[in-house]
Amino acid sequence: MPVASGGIHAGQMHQLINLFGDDVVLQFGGGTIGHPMGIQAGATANRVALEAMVFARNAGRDYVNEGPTILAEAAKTCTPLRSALDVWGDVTFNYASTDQLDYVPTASVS
Amino acid sequence: MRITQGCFSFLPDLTDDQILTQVQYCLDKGWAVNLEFTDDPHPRNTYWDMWGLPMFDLQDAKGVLMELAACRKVYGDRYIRLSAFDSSHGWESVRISFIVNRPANEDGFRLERTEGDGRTQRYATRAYSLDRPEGKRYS
Amino acid sequence: MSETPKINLAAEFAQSGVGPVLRQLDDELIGLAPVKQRIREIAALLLVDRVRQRFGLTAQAPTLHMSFTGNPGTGKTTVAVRMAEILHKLGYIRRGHLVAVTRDDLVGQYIGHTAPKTKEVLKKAMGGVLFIDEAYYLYRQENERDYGQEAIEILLQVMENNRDDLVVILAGYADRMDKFFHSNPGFRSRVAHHIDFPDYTDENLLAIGEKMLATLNYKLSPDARRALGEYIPIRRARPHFANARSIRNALDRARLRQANRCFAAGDVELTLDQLVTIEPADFRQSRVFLESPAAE
Repeated sequence: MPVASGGIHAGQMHQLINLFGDDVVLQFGGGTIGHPMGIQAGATANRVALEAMVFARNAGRDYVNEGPTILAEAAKTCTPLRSALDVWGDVTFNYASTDQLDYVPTASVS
Repeated sequence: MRITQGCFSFLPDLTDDQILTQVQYCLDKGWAVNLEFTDDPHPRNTYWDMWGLPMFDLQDAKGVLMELAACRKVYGDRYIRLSAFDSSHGWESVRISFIVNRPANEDGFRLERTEGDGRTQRYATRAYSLDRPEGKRYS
Repeated sequence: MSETPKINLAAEFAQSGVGPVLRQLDDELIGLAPVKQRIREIAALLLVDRVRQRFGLTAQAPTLHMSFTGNPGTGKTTVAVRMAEILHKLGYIRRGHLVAVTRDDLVGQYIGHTAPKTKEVLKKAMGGVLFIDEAYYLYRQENERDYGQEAIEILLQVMENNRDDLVVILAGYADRMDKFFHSNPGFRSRVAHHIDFPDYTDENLLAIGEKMLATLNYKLSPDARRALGEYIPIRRARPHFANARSIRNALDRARLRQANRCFAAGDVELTLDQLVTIEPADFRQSRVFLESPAAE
């Protein structure tokens, strides 16, 4: 059973569901206890985001592309989720790698 | 206190159209859809009363909605949930289960403390609705 | 000021995918010219209505329930299946499957048995077409303990309230259906299209027979074709003639005789052609010929 953990947050729910499906353990660490409104609010935000995304997927929506829209719609009736999206909305995994190569690959055998 | 058992329990109550889409998803996957009801909302009460038999040979979700309407007419004052069972090899379990009907007033739970030997304390949750006899819990 | 919209019905028709279904109907069923014509007319009406609905000209869904009258074996169930496909392709029913039932599937044997039985059938048929064969048996006036009336009431209610969920097709003999509608005006007012299925002609039945054999990988020798052609009118005059079904039964018996004939030939080399061909003797041995006045 896949386990997703490490910096994941409610704003990435569409990508998480797309990558892992239904049979997965989602571990929101910082995404729960780092919530500005408190830990319970963090858990609520994650749960609401998950349910809204699963609902949209089952209803046949293109949840992968419409993910942010679906989350914003759900956040209208859920302040913790609204707050979570505001704080972590632009956190993605697309950043410049800090792991730079310290050599240039050259062919050793011609 | 809204009980948060099952899928979609953190979202606002599902409309009939929304229930239709979810049930259609289950039927399209070939899962057996089942309706259950109860008036004891304790989270460890997993065996609710079944409304009829599981429906697996339906093509369209409207048939399930018909059953739900009939169930609501009789047990509309209780919790009703809809679950879908996947019988394919390797799964053979409930794949989705969500509440489709709630009583008008959800009383919630209280903590009951039982003292034991020495200074042992045992805790249990008990629904307020169980204070009333069966049949009159939510009416 | 809105410009007049351009509507191309031929394009709509091509897009709906109904054309192939109608062509399949033409190929599959021999004869039945008035029925095929009527189906085309209904398809045209539904197509135009769909376009009108798009422009907001029609608010209510049209009544789609139908009645198919005719003798047994005239293709009513086959046409009902095609009709379900057409309705599905034009978007009038959601799934397009057909559930075929008779009175026994709807009516119970004791009090309280009928409603759940009928409701179960309706649940399965939701989103598709419910085909009730010999519908007049639902109403047994002579028997006061009959529970058919309850099934009728449930059906009438569903036919009225769930018009966009379910289409009901009633089928049976023409005269009995007439009497049924007369004593149950509720049904008559809910059924929009009455289609009559005429009996097949002798030529139709011969062609149907050959088509059936072709799907089973058999063929008729010219003499056998003549024998079958003579068989049909004699069989028609005998009791319990069921059109295409009687032909299928006759062909089954002919295949039995052909197999026995080949087997009785003993330790002889047979060609594949001999196994595939039906000879006139396979028909001539039938009781229909031996007992007919011409045989005397």
